Amino acid sequence: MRSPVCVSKETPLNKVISAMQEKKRGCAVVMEREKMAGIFTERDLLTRVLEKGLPLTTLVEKVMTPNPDFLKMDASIAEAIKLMSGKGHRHIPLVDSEGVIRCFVSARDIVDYLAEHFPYQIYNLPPEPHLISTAAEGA
Amino acid sequence: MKCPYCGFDNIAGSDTCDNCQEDLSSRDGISASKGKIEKVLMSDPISKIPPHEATCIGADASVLDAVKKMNQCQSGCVVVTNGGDEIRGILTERDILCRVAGKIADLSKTKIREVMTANVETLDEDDTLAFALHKMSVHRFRNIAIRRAGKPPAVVSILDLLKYLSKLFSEKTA
Repeated sequence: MRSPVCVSKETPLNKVISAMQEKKRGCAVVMEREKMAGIFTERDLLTRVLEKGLPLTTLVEKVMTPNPDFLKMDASIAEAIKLMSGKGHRHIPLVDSEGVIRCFVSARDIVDYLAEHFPYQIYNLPPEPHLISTAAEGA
Repeated sequence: MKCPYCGFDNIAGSDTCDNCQEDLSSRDGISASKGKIEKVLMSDPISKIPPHEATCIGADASVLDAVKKMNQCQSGCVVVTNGGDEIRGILTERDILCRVAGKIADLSKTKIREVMTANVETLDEDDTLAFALHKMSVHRFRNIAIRRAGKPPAVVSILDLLKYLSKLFSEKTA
């Protein structure tokens, strides 16, 4: 789980994009008076900004996805996977018992979690599949 | 000697499995610690994930065309080809966020070859799921271009893999 990029609704897109680039995040959480008002993702950037040629001075509230799906901090990984698989989300904000966003979980975080559970199978692989010998060495 | 993990028939006396590289020299504890998920990772080919044909585009097309194609196909990337099956590169949403947004003013005048990731790492459809998971976790890829013999390239995304594995988990816990 990683800390989110949080911006206010009145932030222009160029600043949101700079923050996402700097922190290497695929999404930014849009806040309004300490509460989550929306989310702006890489996908929103492509579909609502770049294809339409919107200027990057546009405020993020005009192109964000309002009222995004979220999970509580104590939600299970199965719930996160279900939400990601069902709705195609790659990032899910996690909120505490008071509804304040604390962090988000990404599809990559879950893949990392799975890989850590099968280290022998995943981390011990050669960099390329064809490097595995298919025949015994020697004469 | 049959590998207890992937079922590959190895030469008698092999220390490690020639297919999955598992240790065959000591068989202690194998059955207790190994389960269905491990076996699937080491033996199921990537082609078991429902095929998701790649959105292909030429290297001289504009970045705006790539964005339109990605939106139209609801894909997180476009695979850059030579017009045939040869993969020249890949352009992903992350590439567009980091190399295009706020840095290039006119997307219609910028060619894909200027911003794509060249020398792209690919897998074959016969490679196992473990390699896809390895590339996604260790190499930090969210989309992997898949070479398919005699067919256009495919793409496996991180969500495709997650969906496939989540089904196994639900079967395992059911």
